[in-house]
Amino acid sequence: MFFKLENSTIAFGGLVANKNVTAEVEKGQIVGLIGPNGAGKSTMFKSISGFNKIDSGTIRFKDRDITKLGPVEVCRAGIACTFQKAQSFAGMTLEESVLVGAYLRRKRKKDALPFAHEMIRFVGLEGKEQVKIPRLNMFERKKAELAAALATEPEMLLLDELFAGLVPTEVEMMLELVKKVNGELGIALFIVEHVLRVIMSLCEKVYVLEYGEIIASGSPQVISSDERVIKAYLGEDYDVADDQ
Amino acid sequence: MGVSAYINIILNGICVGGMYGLMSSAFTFQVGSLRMVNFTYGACIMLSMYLTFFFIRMVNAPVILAALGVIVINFAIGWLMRKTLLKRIDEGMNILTTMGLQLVIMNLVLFFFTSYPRDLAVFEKRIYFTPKISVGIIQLACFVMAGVILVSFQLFLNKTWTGRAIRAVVQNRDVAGLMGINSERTLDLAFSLSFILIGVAGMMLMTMFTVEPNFGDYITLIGFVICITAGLNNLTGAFITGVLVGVLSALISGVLGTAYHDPMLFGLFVVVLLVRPYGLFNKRKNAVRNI
Amino acid sequence: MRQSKYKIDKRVILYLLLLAAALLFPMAANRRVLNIAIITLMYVTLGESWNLLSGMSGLFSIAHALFFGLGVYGMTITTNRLGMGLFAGVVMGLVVNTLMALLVGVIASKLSGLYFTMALIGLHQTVYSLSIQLIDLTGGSMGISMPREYLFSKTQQYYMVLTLAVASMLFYVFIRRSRIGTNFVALKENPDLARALGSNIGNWRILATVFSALMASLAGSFYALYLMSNNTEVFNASISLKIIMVVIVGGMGYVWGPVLGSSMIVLDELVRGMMPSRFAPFSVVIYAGVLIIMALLKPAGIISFFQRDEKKTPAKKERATT
Repeated sequence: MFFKLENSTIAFGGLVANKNVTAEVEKGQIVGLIGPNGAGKSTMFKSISGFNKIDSGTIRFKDRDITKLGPVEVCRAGIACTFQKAQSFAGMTLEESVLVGAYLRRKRKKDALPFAHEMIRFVGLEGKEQVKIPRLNMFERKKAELAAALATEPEMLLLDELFAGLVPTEVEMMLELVKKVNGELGIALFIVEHVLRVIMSLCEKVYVLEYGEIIASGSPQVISSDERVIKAYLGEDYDVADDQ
Repeated sequence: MGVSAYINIILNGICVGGMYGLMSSAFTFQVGSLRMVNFTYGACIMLSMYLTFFFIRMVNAPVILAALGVIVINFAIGWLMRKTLLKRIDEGMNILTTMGLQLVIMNLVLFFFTSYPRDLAVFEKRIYFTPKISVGIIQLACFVMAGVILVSFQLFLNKTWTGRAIRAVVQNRDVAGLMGINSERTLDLAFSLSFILIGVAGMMLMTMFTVEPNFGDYITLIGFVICITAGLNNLTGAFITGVLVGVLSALISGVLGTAYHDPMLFGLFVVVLLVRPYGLFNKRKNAVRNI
Repeated sequence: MRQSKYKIDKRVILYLLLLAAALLFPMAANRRVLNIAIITLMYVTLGESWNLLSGMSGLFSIAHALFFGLGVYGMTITTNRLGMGLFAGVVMGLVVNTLMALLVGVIASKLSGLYFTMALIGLHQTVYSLSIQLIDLTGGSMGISMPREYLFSKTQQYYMVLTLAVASMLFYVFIRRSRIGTNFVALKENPDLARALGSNIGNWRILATVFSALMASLAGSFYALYLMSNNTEVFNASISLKIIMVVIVGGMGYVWGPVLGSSMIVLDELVRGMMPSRFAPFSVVIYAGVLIIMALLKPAGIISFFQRDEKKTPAKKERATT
């Protein structure tokens, strides 16, 4: 088993954010996670990446129990993540912020710097290495965050609404980039997304979360024809064909 | 030293601890709830003590007027600080600027009142429980008043519209704004109100201590110790810890000698920091923060 | 490309000229001016130390005199009480400071921001009161003096502290450009993102505290040689304030910040010579006032006047409030 989250439950005070959530990702697979706002998607991602400690359940990654690990160890184990609200190091140049990630597995600057440049080139931001992060636009910042995450050389990447806030042409370019991440680097992707088109065109498997519970899972076609999902999430009169 | 001596020390410690608790809850409210770092509060308490002395001994004002004066001045200081130093909520800068203001206040007091220690020199009647065990009437009254003030402050926060507005703003500024609460003004008010607690604590402390300009530093430290030991943003915890620290500090000074006071008290504080960094009364939060 | 290369050359020449001027300075200066220069350079060193901890790593140390004072006491106690040499004194300061910094750093690795500051103040007060009360060791409020044989001439002292200041600046630049500095800045700018990228912020915080404490310790060891004694004043809050002021006025997070900010120390020393002692409290009022005004109006420091190409970028904090 490559990655498996099993029976994860997490509560904040009285609010149960995740209840017996189980999800699996195979090596090199792209898996999607959808659900209405407040369904507990980000909470689930944060428990995987180690920012939240789950109350019960297990997380296994490459035959290793990573349930109790913090974010640093999880990242070292090979799971990187990007955040829902684009996070950045405001005082840094693009090059340096990607270096932070690159330093995880390369202790010396002369090894880390070329690799950081490679990742910057990979996401298509070459020529902007010395630009301060706040001067990049939203699209570039998201790519910068992606580059930093890639620089940690993950085997699985959690993308929390990477496409949110992008205009359609940018979504298209990001889509290509994400496909390239999966295809060329062979990184498994676990994606939370609101832009359904992205989920439908990318994922092999989709989980649907509602009120903290998985209510359906399967291929995009199965999901988009599931009665419960359509009622709960897509609305009464949703037609898949319209969205595509 | 007999048992009665110990009991006297403890009683005295409880009364002083009540004052500590009162001023620490003001600090813990400002820093923990309002997220406004205010390192001037020791200096403000010291200033309130001097003002009390000034009004009562130098102007010969009646106690009620003196109290009113101190409270009004503190309220004004709080409001001005909020409008200038704490306008932008940036923890680092707020630490620096308020620390700067603290030194300004301290040195201005040093200039105007000189470093000569001042004392109200009130003659205090004592209540005798047994011939040997007694407690000062003013001390006891202060302790009771501190408790009453804190309870009413809590009631104010929980029961009145303004209090609820404050709590709403503290929890989520944006949403409170949507609900029609002027969050800026509410925060101004909350911060200034907490300064009343500081003023009152200063006045009460003046009846028990002699004051010098660097007394504020000591108060700041005690306040830190109490707030961190209790865990930030826990008003009741701060009061209880205040009493504990008062008793502890009275016992250390009374039994072992004042030379042991600072090293032992602050050493203990370091131990608390290492063992229970989230405070005695706060639960460890889930690690996720501002993402 | 050519233009930028030309620019770098100009800079190097500027640095060399500055260094030459600093090296030749004692020849043109009298004793009083030299004294001021020594104190100023010492504050440059202390400023770099504070800059490393607060400007680079974002841990606000408002009781930095703690590390400085430990350096002074390490030196005097080792030479006077233990009868060992200067080198041992320096090492003693470094060792004690490392231990103290480890303690502070461990606290900082669990907690940050305000808690760190408050913990540091608590430790500072503990050490300060110990320095008064352990009379046999520290000499109490009277202090103890250094053995006479360690009295250096002002010119020698000047070169010592110049070396220290230049070394601390080089160290700052070296750290900033290395893996360590990248991680320091990362944990300052956004600890959560840093952790998500596998940067162990707890350990980096400890390391930052240790580095900073070591730099302050060296400055302290030097100050013991300058004073030829110790006294409890070295733990004073006004020293912490001056250190912070030097950096804030100059520009936080820049290696030249403390150098520019140290002009405040020159000003202070000049004014102090002329002012009647009754007005001494006012000098602190003025520093604090300058600090407040700079922090409110020009948080980027004097250095921002020199940065023409980097137009004032309002460093927007991309922090959610939820």
